[in-house]
Amino acid sequence: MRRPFRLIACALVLAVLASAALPRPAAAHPMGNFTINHYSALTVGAGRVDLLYVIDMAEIPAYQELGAIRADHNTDLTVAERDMYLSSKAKDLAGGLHLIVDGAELPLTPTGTPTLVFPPGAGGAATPTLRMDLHYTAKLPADHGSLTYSDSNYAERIGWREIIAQSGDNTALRDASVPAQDVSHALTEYRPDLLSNPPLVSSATLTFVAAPGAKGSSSDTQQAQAAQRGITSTNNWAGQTNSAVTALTDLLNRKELPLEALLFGLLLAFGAGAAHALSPGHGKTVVAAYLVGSRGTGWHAVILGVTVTISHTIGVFALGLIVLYASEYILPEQLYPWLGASSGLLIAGMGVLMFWQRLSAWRRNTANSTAADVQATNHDHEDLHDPTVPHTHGAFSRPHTHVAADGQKVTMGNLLSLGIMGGIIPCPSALIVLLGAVAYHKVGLGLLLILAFSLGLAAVLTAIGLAMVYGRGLAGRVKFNLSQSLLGRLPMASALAVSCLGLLIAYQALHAGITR
Amino acid sequence: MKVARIGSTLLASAVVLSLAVVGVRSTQVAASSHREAPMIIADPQADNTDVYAFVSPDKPDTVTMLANFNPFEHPGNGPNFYRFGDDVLYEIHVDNVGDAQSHITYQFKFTTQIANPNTSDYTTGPIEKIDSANLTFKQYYTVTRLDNGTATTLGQNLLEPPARVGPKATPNYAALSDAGIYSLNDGSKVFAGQADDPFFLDFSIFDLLTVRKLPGNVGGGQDHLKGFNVHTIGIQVPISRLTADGSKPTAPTAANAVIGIWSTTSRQTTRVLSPGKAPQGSGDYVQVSRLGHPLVNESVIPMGMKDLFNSSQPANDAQFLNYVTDPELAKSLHKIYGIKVPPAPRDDLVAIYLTGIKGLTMPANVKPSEELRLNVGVPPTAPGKISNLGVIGGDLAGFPNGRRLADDIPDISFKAVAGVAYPLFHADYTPDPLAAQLGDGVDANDLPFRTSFPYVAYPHENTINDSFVNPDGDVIGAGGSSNPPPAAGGGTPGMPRTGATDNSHLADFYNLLLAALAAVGGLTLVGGYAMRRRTADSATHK
Amino acid sequence: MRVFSSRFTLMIGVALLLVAGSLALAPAVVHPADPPVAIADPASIVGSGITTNGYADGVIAGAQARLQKRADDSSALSDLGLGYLQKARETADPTFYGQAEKALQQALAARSSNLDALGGLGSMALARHQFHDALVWGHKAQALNPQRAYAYGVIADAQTELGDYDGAVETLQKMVNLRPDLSSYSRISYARELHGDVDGAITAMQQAVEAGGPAPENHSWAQVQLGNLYFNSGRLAEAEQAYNAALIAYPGYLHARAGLAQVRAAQGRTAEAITLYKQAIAVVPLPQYLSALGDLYTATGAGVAAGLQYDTVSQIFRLFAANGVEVNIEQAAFLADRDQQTATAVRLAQTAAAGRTDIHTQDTLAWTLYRAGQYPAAQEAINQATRLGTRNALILFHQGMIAGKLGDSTAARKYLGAALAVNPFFSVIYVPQAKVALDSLGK
Repeated sequence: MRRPFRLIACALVLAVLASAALPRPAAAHPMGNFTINHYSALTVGAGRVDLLYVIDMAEIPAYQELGAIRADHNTDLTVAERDMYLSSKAKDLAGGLHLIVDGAELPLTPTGTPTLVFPPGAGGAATPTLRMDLHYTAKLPADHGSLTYSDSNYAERIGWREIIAQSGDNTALRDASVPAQDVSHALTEYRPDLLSNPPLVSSATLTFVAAPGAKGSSSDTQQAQAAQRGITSTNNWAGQTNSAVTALTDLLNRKELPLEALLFGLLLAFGAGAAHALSPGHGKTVVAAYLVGSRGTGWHAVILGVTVTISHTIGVFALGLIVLYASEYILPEQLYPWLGASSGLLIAGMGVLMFWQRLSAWRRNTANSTAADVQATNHDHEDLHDPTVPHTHGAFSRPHTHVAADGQKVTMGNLLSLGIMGGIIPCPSALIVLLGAVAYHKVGLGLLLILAFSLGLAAVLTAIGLAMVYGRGLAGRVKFNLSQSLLGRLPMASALAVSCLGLLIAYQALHAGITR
Repeated sequence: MKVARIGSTLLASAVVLSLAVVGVRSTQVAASSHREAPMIIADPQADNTDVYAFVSPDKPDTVTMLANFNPFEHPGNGPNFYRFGDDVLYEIHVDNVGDAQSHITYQFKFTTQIANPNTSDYTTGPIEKIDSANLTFKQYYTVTRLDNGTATTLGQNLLEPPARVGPKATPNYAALSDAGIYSLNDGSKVFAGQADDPFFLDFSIFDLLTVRKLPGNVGGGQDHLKGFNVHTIGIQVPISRLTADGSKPTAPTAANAVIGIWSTTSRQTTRVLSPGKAPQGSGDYVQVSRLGHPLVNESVIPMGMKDLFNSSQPANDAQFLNYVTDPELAKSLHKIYGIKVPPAPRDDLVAIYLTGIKGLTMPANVKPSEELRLNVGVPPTAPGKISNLGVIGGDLAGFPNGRRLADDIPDISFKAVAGVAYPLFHADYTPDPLAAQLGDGVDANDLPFRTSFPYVAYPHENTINDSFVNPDGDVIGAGGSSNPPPAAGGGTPGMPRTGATDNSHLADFYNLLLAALAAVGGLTLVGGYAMRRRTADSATHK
Repeated sequence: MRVFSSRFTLMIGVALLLVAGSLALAPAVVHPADPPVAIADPASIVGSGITTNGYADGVIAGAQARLQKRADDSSALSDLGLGYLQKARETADPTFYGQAEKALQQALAARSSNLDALGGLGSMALARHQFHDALVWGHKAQALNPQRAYAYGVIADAQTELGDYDGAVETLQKMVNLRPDLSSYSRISYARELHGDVDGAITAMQQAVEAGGPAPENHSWAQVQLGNLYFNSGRLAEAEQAYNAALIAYPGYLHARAGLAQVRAAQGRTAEAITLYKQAIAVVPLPQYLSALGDLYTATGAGVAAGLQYDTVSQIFRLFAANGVEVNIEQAAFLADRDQQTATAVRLAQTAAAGRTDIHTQDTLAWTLYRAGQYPAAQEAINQATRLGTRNALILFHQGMIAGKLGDSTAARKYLGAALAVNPFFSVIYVPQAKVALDSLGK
């Protein structure tokens, strides 16, 4: 009964890796592509009312808003455009906000540094969303009174509407109609679930009284955090995007680019590439499965990593070119699925081939199992370290040596073709950077950034490959003692897994974009 | 052996694949431009909620029959939204023979006249009189009586009182409502209009798994219909106009004493396409709702048969016999409370729901059919002696001998299904004492009933404009609430924050964490095997 | 002892793997450590300025209250799902479809014979333009209970969208014989309209309006359809009355505002029309109304403003594609009307036409082919589009323009004349073009 157990355990390892690495469909704004979402955080006390007002527009309203700023809908705003937009917006929106204390309306004055970011939306940076964080302040006429606040901006538009109220220093709040803590973390997390409804709060009432010595419940913690998030945040819902990519496209958006910024950009690109390699959707699984199965060496891992990276870079360039020159006839978003599908099918085919090769190898092996067992007890097979030098792995093991035991060889052809197929799947993040650069007439910068991005990717993929080789070596040693069976079958299982993953990638690509 | 090994390899791969597929999540948002017509489940205007029939307590030579429609009318919602349907045929049927046929049918047809189509207001000023010029929508109706198919118009152009809007628009509502009581040319009285929903119950009684602890018959329930209105049709008819021989029975045992009552609503079907594009919309009436006994759909007819029941005729009720003789509810009561219930077939329930009780509500030569049977020879019980448990409470003028407004139907129904009435038919049977404790904990209506026709209480008034919850704060399904209920545990304010706030970075760490967990897991597994193997090895070698 | 500890180590290993696996399989956005979101203080909602004629909200709240007691209450789950479907109708916000689907599927998991869940999933599939899937759901529900009208509605809608009109008529006849109500009357109205019986369609839609439904939105939806029927026959005053009635029953209903906008545009009250379209778009910028506003701007020579609207429509289609929603036919029609990317438009229409033979798909295909200069193929498609004898001005216009290009001036005159006779206001862009074409053809 132990053998099936081992198999299942082995399958579980693969499953976990696969599920972490599989591409996920891009997520739309959780509140819907049409929504305009509102957030107001009031801090009442210390003689004034501070308001953090956040507007988060989903893809469609963001697009309309951008059109109002510039006819070309680009997020590439100059500092002047940005400042002008924010200051006029701060004024406009203040017109829809009403702060009434003891019956008298208090004027809300824009203060602090407003921020404006364009996190990528459901279709990546081509469909940006828009988020602005505005700060207002108003002087309180007394240290106690009753306060009413209402937000009538975009009153008819669907969306999340949240208001919170917190006390400032020396002040306590009574009978507040709104909570002191927020649900959305300043519109960075929307979680509509089946048993709760999005808040639709557009007004608040409370009374405030003097409370000498009371420490404000918010000023330096929550609100500062919220403001911080407002600047750096990308919406967590945009599944595959990450902050580095946002910062990159943001960087590209700037007209003036000092040297520090360029270096910073390259570093960011490197980091984004590395992070991208860790995020779902790449050839990692293929790399891992292949190396586990084929007894690859560290060099193989490096070669595979580099091949994936180069082919990926080429893929991005090629897709970029196609997108640029063929948009009259082909809609770019319709290209992805076909590319995904074809590379998926290629991977699947490769997997079948590998399976066939390994099946024959395994048959040869089992025929010679006695010999193999004898050889196995020597357990000296090759690995990263000098195989002949005794060494240890981890806390559980005793000193031993490794030398390769079976006839399965890694061929350069296999390695290269697998690397190419694993890398050619178009990567939206990199494509965003490239297309962004082209769109902003900074092709050179774009190429540089892509290169840095690819280097980051290479570094991590290679590291993963090395880790797999190392880890497999350990696994191999132990199972080796038991019998030929598991180790003999592992390469086949991994070959099948490669096929299945290829099919899955192809299916997903087709399902997401073409059929229906 | 080889085959087996290949098989297990495939198995391992299959596990990988299946798990991997589970990992694929799709979040597709629908766009829509095709023509999406609504698919309504409920049809409130034609939804028959309750039927009542009793010998009028203040006029014992007449029978009052009431039928209610349009459940969950909230006083706070737009009054022009709640009305009788102009295209619905409302009928109250009387079977005075016992052969499951409608021998007397009262038909009600409504017509709305819109005085001013360009205003969105129900009224353009206070309504002091039923025919006020300030009323934008006026609904008139015609009452027709069919005697074995022969039609007689009893009244026409009868103006329905307006819905109750609020203290400003309908200041003296009682007078307005009373002005809507008309005498017909055969000595009957009729009323059609808005009223308080006279039914009272706690819905959770239907959710047996969450039902309150026994005893359920002594308060503690929530009246989920409290605060809601309905549209009521009522008719008060001299007994002699209802019996088979046209005379008032001399005693409860008289041959003409038992009548069966039910109500129906119908809408017209139509030919989807007719050749030559002939005139449309004049198709046959299709019965869409039917009601006699209360709670039959809920406690006897299984959910899947509801549509069939609503479209069926009493004459075909044999098809539902099995659900009465061996009801699911009885089995559930036994399972959940451990109550001993009488064995199937349940002739007691057949009597209550289908044939009438012998000696009280069973006509001679009865054809079993689901009708609310009333012995018009039983005089109304004197006020002090009324039991709201009706016959099982020793009050022979109450349910299931007809149904009075105050009869506590949920309690009676559950007790009856649990076998409380079984000894009436099997003297040697002793019901489980727990059966008498069944009930929903709601024992009376939220408003007192009126003492004369139409008896139902005046409708609730819109007092809190923006509250869409009933006065208890319960949010009721179809009531038109705009507010979600308070969340359990007091909602958001005190909710602790976790460290994981900025998820954009977290996504990467999350994947890293997964990989690390998987790696550590795998290594631990392998290490465990190593240890085990070594132990075993050393054991055998020594 | 040693054996025990090694076993223990094994168990730890398996446990870690399972944890990792379950984490990997957990939804990407919700983090397992976070507590569930509770809703905000209801008191503040009462005071909010948002008006919802929230029938759906009531259903949702009621179902949620029941689910608090028992999470696997199948009928509460299907009520919740249907509530979210209605909410999507009331707000025109497609986000709620996702919620609806979750609830309906859980309902079905809790009880596989839940008819409301099956019907609701059929409605979901229709909303996503997955008409073949909708047929499957409908038939499943019908098999379980042939007395339930819902199943027939789902089946008839799918048949209509796929072009099986005879099948749809047969299904609708069963449906209305079973249950005459708003659902069946309004579907019958559409069937009659497609078959060229405009008066019959109006009669049936009036019945739907009169029958009403549990939600004010249901009633207003039928009113808007009635208004559209009047508008499409050039009866502006009656159309306006219907749209106004819809706005009375459901204030702010964006489809009614857009309907009123097209009446104003037809009356030459362009400024009012623009305001009304803007109001409709302020609620949800639906592509059809953005296009209509763009057309209005184009007709008045405001090219830049028009471009803004059209660009937004393109962006919406891009988003739908990114979200995996099939909008081939809508996108093809949009491109053909702009006379842009003609090759792409033809390809999109052909892709759509491969899976369905309904007249709108055929009409769109014809118009894209016309734009691409493939007139004989266009004629073939337009013949398919007119096979039911539908009295639709736009289709007749397409037919006339195609005939003109093929040199059949008699037919061109006939169809263009018919288009203007059916509805002299059918399009702010194409009406002038139709008149010019008629003039150039001579009498």
